[in-house]
Amino acid sequence: MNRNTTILLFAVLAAFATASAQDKMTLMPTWMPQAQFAGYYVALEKGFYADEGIDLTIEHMGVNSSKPGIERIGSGEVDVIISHPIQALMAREYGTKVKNVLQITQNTGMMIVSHQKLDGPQSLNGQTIGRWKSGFSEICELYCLANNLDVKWIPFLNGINLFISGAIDATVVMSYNEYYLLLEAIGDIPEENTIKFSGSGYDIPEDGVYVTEDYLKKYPDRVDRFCRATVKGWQYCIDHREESLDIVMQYVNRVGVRTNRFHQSLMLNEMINMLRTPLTGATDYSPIPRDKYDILVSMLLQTNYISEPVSYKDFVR
Amino acid sequence: MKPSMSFAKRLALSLIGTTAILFLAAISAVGIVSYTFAYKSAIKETSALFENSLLEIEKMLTYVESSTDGNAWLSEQFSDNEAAMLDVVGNLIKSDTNIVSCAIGFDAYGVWENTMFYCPTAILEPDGNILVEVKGSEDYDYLTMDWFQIPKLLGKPYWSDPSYDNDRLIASYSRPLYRHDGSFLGVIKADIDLDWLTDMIQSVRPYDNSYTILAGRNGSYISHIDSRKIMSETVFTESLEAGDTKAVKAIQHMMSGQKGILKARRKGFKGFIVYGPLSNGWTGALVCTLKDVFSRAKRMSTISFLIAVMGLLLLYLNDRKIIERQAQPITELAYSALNISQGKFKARIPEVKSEDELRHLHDSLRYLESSIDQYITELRTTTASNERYESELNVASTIQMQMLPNNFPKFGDIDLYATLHPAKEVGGDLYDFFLEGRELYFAVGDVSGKGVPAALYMAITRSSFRFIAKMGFSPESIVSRLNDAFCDGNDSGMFVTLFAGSINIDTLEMKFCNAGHNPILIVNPDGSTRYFHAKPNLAAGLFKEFPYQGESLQLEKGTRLLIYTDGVSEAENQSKELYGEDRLEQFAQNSNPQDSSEEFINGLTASIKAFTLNNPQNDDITIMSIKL
Repeated sequence: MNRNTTILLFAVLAAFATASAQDKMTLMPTWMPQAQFAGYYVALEKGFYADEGIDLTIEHMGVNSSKPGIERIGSGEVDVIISHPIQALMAREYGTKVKNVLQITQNTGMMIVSHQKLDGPQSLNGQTIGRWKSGFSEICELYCLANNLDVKWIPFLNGINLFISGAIDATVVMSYNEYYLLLEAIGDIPEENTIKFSGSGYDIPEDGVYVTEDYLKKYPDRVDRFCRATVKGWQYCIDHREESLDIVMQYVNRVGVRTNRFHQSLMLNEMINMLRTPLTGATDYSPIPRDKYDILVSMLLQTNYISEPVSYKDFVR
Repeated sequence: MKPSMSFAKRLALSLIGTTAILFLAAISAVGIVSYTFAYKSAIKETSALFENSLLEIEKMLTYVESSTDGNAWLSEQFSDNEAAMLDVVGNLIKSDTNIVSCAIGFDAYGVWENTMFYCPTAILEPDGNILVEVKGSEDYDYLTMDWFQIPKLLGKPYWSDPSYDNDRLIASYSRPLYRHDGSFLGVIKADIDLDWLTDMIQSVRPYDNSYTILAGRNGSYISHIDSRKIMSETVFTESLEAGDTKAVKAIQHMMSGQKGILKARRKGFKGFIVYGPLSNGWTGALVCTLKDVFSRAKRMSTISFLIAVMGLLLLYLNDRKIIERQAQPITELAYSALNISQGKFKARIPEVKSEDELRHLHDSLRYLESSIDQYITELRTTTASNERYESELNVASTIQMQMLPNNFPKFGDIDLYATLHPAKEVGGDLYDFFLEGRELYFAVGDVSGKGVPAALYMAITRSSFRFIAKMGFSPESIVSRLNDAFCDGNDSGMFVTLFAGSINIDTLEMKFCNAGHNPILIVNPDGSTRYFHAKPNLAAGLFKEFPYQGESLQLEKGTRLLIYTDGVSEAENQSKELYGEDRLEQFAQNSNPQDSSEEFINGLTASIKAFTLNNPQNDDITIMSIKL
């Protein structure tokens, strides 16, 4: 073996070593590709995950799987999921112990939109209200329970057609998605026909990054690196909205999601707004505040969504 | 100077300008009418076309509705017979070529207590086979799907907004099913492939750039010329993005289930939209651009305009030619006038045969030509005559001047010098002197009037003075005789002022007679001066036998006598001031007493000239200086 061959062999081995040094991770957001997940797409496309030694794969609900991430993470099909605190707490009931390792949005995008003017919670009494079959609207349900409202919940798969057709009186929407879908469907939405939970006592932060307790115990550093790259990705979205939107549209078009750039731009802007901490206005990815967490757990216990309390320490890293 | 436009060009342009305005007004009026007509026709035609297309769709929808409704009672009757239900869905597909799949979704536990999902389904496969099966599971939860839930909740049939199913755009008609007791049993639905619908609706294109859109209740495009917008954008997306609230309002009205026409004018689009609803809640619209609608009218207007421009050009060329031809005599007459002005009085004046303004101009020019010719002929004669007269006058002037003594010898110690400057060729002033024995006779006179008559009179006066004086008479006798002689046959009433005298060259006694003449100026040897006013006699030639009185004066040696005519004292400058006796006396006082008579007279003449400068001389100037 001459000297040159030796150098070449070392070079190949070094390259292999570098490639294999990348930790494979699979992330599953809560829904199909859209600007709600812009930060992760951007971090992946701009190489922030790779810089942290992570080889990330993103699997979407409705594209790669019909099952939601919360159902797949327990069996280890995916490593990281994006979920809401309520979903994560409720998953514990079925033995899936996930932990919040990074809180992305700092408030809720949950809203109720009605055909009629809404003047306080009592306006919803006796109404039929649409909600997602897959969950995420528990806040609204807790709100109605707390106000002793007699509401008929109509679960639906997705979209706004149930509401548009007039089959239901009101519907649960997300401020960054269905609200804009509705706006694009009917031209304008009178503010008086809506209830916003953001800023209210039900303002529980939503999208956060979750891993199982086992995964965190096993790969604490990997999770740290993942979180760092994700924060960097979102920060890039804040600083480069048009470029981030381009990346979102690539993801959207790749799987043929029926949407448009205008809708995604509205969604991205609203998501960026939701990154801000309500009290300080800073974008610091603070964990869910203790007081809000305690209220949430107590509400979930009272309404039997969960059967046992979960300590803040067990839930938030 | 910039050469101006020719008369013909100017007139032609002016005519064309007026015609062009009229043409333009006519074309504009025709244009407005054709554009209005085109617009109204377009609205009418496209509305009719659009409504026909909607009717076509309605027909198909109704057919699907009938086929589905027709199978509803079977589903209600034999819901617990799975095989029968599969037959129903299989037959439903076969009954209508528009239907690509159908299903009967029964309510949860609606048929059997232990069966949550029960959904007999038939699907038309690409190879034409019909696949029938019972569907429904947690993974295919039709119970939460729109096609099931909406008719269930509404309690009436429902056409869903379109959706994609395996890259195929479908829409579903679903109808709720009820048991005998009226309770909800389930929903029967039929899916139709919308590809043919979008193809059909896109073929409705009355104009090159027109297109049809079809939108669902949720505003999503079901059909659009830009296929990327189908199910991706809604009718509001573009306006919301542009922040155009006016457009949003207009579209809301369009989507409200009413028929209408919307005039749209926004960036990059000007036109109208004919819109109307379908019975299933969808909205159709036919978009037409004004560019297309007006293309024919615009083409016609362009052609009319081009024809008008060509016509105007031809009219201009023709008009200009006609005007040039009509104006040709004017040009020729102008040349003739130019020739006449250059002295060619026999220049040809072009004939004008017409009896109009041109003929009048021609006649005037001809008259002008003959008048000028005649005038010039007369002028030539007069000029020749004047020249001859002038020549004769010059001769007369020479003769007259030669009649006056121009040799000034010394008479003893007496130095005599005289000059005469006539105001015209010939003058009426005179002077004379001669020595007869020891007496020096002299005279200075001024005949009334000027020119030839005065000159003749002067000649007579001078020769008569010389003739009479030589006979030894005293000055007053000489003047008396001259007066008598002049008065005889003096019908012209002329007269002469005369200062006549004689000086004894030994004794220096001067005898003299002043017949109405200026006073003489005496310059004493010491340089002092005085005017000597002699006895006032009348001028000679006025009254016969007038008793002229003579005088005598003993003069001193060295005295200078200055005898002059009124041409000296009345010499006038441009300010109408006279030289005057004071200025004359002043000159004499300032002069050198030793100066000879010639020097004195030259100095005086220069002084008068300096005073009058260029003012023309209006009287003869005669000066005689006698220095004793």
